[in-house]
Amino acid sequence: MAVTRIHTPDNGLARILGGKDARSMDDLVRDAEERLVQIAPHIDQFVAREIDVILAIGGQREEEVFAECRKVSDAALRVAEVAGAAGATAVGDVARGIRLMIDSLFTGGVWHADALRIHVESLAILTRGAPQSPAEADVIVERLKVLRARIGVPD
Amino acid sequence: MTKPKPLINLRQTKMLVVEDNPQALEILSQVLVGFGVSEFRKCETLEDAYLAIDKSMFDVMIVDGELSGESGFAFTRHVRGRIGANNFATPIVIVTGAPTRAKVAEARDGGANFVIAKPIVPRTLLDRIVWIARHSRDFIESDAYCGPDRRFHNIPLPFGVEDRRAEAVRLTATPERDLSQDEIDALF
Repeated sequence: MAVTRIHTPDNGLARILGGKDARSMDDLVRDAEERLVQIAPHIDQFVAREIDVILAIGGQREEEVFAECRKVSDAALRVAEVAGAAGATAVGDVARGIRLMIDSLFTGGVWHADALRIHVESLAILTRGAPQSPAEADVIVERLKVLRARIGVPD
Repeated sequence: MTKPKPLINLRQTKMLVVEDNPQALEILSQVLVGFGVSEFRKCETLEDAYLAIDKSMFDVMIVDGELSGESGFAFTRHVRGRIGANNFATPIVIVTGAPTRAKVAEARDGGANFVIAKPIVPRTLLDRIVWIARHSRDFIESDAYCGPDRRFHNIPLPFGVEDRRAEAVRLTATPERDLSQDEIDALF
């Protein structure tokens, strides 16, 4: 019969609570957020380079996009992972949608060329087009979410 | 009444960060420095991470779920599969840019303590670290699962509903009761 062992391991993090020089959570969070503000320009540059990759490949003919979709997916993930930290939440969300669209090809074997193109064009609108208000950007993100749900690409 | 917010000192904490996206690694590093963490090991590949966990003990490990090649989920299973080895029971926080239901379940069932969606929000990360510090969670070792006890919530039964085991509990709590034949047989 399989043996199950239950124990309580030493909690190495317990010592962070209290003690000399301890600070409030609010103070620590504020320091961390200030550091993120300082590196925001670097994040923007990184995101811009990755978006160049997505738009360059995503603007090609369908078979070329299909052939290089892994590159698009990887770039989209890198954008999704960081864009929000520099305040570009909608850009990150659209990039995450691109990643989900391409993942659905690998996991479900379904290739939605038109829906993927709409995602790529939405990313171009948000980053290269006329500035969007946050409310307008949210509409784009929400409509893409509805589109994905309708074609069976779960978030 | 809510619990008072604790005071924190992360200066002596040893952390491992495994992340292959250089910008995400920079974000995480800046957040940890902002928290006052002075000692954290950064690994961009799983090979480096495997060497690091063999050499050093960490208080917490923050691991990217979407590492190229083998994933952070595989890293978690690897760590939890080495019963008794370094960092076997060290808390693991998975950070992921694609937090789908399937991936969260994969992380939980692989033995991760928490999953956090990227981009990292400092308060979310600190809340999880403090939660781990305040709660010494049981650890389960079995053939099917190694990791922190996944039973987070103790939800009381609705008013007026009796626990279905209540009768059995009452019986076993009464030593003078008559044993059934099966119970008698089991004693021989």
